[in-house]
Amino acid sequence: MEVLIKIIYYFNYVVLFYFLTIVTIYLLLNAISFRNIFRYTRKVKFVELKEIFRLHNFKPITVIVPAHNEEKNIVQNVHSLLQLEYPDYQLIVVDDGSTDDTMKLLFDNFQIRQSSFSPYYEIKSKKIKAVYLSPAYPNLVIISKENGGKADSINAAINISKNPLITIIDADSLLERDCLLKIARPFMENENIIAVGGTVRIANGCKVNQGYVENVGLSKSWLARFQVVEYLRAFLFGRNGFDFFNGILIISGAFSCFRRDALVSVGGYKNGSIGEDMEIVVRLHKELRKQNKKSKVTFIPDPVCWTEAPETFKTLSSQRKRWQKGTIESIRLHKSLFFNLRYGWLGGLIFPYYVFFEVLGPLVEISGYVIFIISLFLEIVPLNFAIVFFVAAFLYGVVLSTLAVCLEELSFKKYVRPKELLLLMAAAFLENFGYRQLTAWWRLRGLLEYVIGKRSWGKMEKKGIQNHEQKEYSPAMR
Amino acid sequence: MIEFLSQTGIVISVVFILLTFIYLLLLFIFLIRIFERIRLKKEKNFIRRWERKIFEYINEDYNPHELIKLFPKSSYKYLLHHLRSYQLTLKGEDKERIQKFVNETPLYDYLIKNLKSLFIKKLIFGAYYLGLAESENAKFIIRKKLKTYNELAYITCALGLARINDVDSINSIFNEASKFKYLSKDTLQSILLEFNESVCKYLLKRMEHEKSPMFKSVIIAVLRHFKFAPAAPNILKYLFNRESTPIVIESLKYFGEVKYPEAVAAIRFYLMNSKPEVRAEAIKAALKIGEPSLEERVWSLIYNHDRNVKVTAAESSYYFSNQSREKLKSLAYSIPNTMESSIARMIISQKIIHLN
Repeated sequence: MEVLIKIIYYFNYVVLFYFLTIVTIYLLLNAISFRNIFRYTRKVKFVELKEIFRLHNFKPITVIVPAHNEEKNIVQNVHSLLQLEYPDYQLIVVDDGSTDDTMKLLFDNFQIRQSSFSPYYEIKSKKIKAVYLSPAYPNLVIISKENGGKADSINAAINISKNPLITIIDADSLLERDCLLKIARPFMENENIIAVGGTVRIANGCKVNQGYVENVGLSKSWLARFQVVEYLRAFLFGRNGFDFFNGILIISGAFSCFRRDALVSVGGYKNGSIGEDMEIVVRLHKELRKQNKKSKVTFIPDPVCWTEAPETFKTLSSQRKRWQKGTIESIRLHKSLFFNLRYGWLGGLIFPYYVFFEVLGPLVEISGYVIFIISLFLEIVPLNFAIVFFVAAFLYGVVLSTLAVCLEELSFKKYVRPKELLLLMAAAFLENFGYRQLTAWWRLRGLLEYVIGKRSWGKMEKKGIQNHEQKEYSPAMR
Repeated sequence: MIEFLSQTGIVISVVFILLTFIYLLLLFIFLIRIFERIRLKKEKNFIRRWERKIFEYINEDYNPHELIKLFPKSSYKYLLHHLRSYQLTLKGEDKERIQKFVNETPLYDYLIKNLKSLFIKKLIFGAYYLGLAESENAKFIIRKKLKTYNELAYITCALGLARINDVDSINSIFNEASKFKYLSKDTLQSILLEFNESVCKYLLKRMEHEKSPMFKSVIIAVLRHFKFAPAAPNILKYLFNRESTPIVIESLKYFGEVKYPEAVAAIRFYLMNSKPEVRAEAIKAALKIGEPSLEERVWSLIYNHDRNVKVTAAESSYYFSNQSREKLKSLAYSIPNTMESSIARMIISQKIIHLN
């Protein structure tokens, strides 16, 4: 018993040390992000994005949309994607062996015709059955292929893509009309850039018109509101801070842009991967930095894409478990980066951060709560200290979330109505009492499931976008 | 340690610090929002009250001195902000009338006072609106203010001088720009594009002495935008001197745009450059110039090891001549299936579908 008490006693120190380390890291990331975002907003304030049309200094882009059983949204989404502002882009829609009317709807609405074009497979993918082109929409290409999953669909599209830049988006993502102008700029400014990610925001509660977010709003569901704050924190602080160290290990699959030659040189996306969006970025870092030390994956803080957040506990838990499994898988596959100083900050700091705080974080957090409670019962920790420590930890979480709201208010100001601001602040406060612990619990379950070999993708139920104009983003089951 | 922390009250102090910080943050957010709302409301009221008068002024119902008397001095800021959209969208006489209204009334003195202020925010305000009104008389003061260590102030002053078309300030704009490590190529280009065509000969002079590759490539991009052909012999030297990649790429784009036949030899040379982005740009330049002697070499680049070069070469070959187009067609349907034939099929099928 004495040994057990000693273990519990010292574990409390581990948790305390862990907490203080993460506080320091987050404060550092916050400081860097404030600086970066102000620099970015100041820079773009004086540059008219459409100058790109005047100077013809652009790189053509291929936009890839993998679609599997997307009959509810596909027509509206393709129409909105055909209206993006960019001087030269090709849109490739990949029908990944849909069993619904996705292909029929594309035939009916875009006057597509089968082309004689058969691809040359630079990277491995399932067989492309047919390639369709549309005389009415010169930049539209539709591929019909055997079902092989998202990664496989992307690889198939890369094989037939024409342009040096590849943007990958989810079929249910809502894009800002000028998103390509924004995402392409870093590639034009710096030839060492191999990939760029943009900020993804939550579309629940927003008014959508013809595939574009017209009015930004907040959902009536608190679960979605908490995720709004969570996304603000993750994108405005997390990614921005890591960008400073060239340590972005994940770019959201909802919207990302890559150099085509970079993707091809690493063999494209990994088939059957749980977290393919993270795995590809880590692999790009790992492989391309060997050839060119200056290779960089970067991030633009501008909101470029809106996505639907889960509004039920079941779906959210499934999503978080999947994200956790994806993170572990990517870390495990590329473990040679761990404390590998040949990769600079990435190997020496960022990768270990992911191991200790992203992979093991939920384990430490949940066991910390349990051991702390046990310590109280065994009187290892004084009650007054325990209460004050918990309050400090919660308040610290509130500070981080409020800082994210503050940065949003100072930079992009997307939530214009006072009621929304109040709700965001309330969410920033309330998410620390229950929601944060719940996500830690789901992530821990993801970790445990991965360890015991339960590594399936899991089901993701989404509501999808309604085909009515001016409707709130919250419709029928897919 | 836990005992120490609990006895000394350090954690309690942390809690109080955090609480105070949260309170201050919330207060800060509310204040930002309140000030923003007040500003918007005032602006809205201003527009509702005065917009008609401004339209009447544009229709020559008032002279500038009569009109300005209607506005209290406290509303100048909103007035200028409101006039901004007119100045950015109107053209010709209407725009000139608005500019006259700013330059010949107490609004000008108000802006000069702001420009001379020691506060950066006021300086920026003054420089921006004087630039927008193309206030020729203000250019000497703006030039002085260009020598600042504040990047934003520099950008606004440079933009102001560009809008006034103060071509004599070109050297100062570049000299001062070199102070700012994070000033992007885009920003500098956007500033220079605000000048009119007469800036080109000054840019050409600057280019001869310019050492920074970034500035050189910006200058070439602007010269290309204005299709300034007299710069061609100088830019051609850069191609022969094998300057850095951004300069070579900009130069190739320039020659494609001005269609300078003397550049053909240099383009031929760069079609074989080791960097794929240079080769691709050289192909585009060759196509734009349309020099038949380059056709065969462009065609051969379909077999280059870089895919982007292959695609560019195939697409250019389609347009170069009927002979190249036929060769592309036969490559497209050749056996076995290679990357080259696949690219050729892609180009041909897209063109055929669209012709149909």
